[in-house]
Amino acid sequence: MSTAAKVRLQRAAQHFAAVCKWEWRDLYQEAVRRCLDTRQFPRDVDPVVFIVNVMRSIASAERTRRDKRPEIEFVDDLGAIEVVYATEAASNAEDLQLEAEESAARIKALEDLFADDEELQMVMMGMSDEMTASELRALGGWSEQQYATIKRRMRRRLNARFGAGWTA
Amino acid sequence: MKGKNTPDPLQNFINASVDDFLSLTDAEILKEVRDGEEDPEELAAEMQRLAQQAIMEHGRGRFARARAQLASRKLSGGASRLTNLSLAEKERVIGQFSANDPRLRGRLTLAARMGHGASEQEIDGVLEDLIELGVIDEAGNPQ
Repeated sequence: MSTAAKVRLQRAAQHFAAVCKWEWRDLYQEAVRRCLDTRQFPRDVDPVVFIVNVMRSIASAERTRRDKRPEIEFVDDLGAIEVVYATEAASNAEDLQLEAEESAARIKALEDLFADDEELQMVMMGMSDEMTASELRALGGWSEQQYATIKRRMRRRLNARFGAGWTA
Repeated sequence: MKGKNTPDPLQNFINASVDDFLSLTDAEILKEVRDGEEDPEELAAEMQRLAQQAIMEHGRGRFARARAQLASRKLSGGASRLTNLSLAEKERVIGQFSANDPRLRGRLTLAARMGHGASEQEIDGVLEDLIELGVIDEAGNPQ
């Protein structure tokens, strides 16, 4: 695996760790172990994409598990990763409130990070709202090149602020 | 509470950020890392070390599980569940594998040459080997 591929994995682990609140190294190692458990490793899927999607599914499952919601989810049509959530009673209102507050604090930390840059704010809000790149470009009236520059600026800030871990 | 259809701004943002990073070329990624005063080779070395550590732990876990299974099989009398099956059932289990396994087919043919067919003892031996190799479970189901 190339250096760039490993850097991609490292960055993805750092990001998804913010979702599940694990240490990114733990998340990456858990993903590697789950890949080894997967008997049908898809040959036609880029291993980086596969491992990234495993991390994505772990983070998503962990986030849902923290809410203690009974659910079975089939994640990722690329790697056929199956995540089965533990069936537990819904947690109490206090836990849910705490979880909501933590998420809000992380979003607030992002807003603060981009507070002096309106373009970054707009892109962040659009990404949080699941807007596509072309929708975002239309929103801001940016060319592809301008949009790429904004995204680069965003990545640089994110890495400088949260590179060592996503703490709100 | 988040559900499948409940908006989750943080997760949406993270997913989009990761997809964005993945879409960059190798050269762009390496440049951005260096621009951030990080050493890509150092990052890559750490990822390699973490992966190796995880692989080793996984291997240890798998070995421990296999050893425990083996011990439990020995305690419970190995393939006793299978050896209690009728001869026809045993032949059906083996038949699933012998068609695609020349060595197994050869072993059964040799046994057949020595008598009128593979003896039940020979068949039990093959079943025990298949269980030990992890090809079938103790009920004769493929694993």
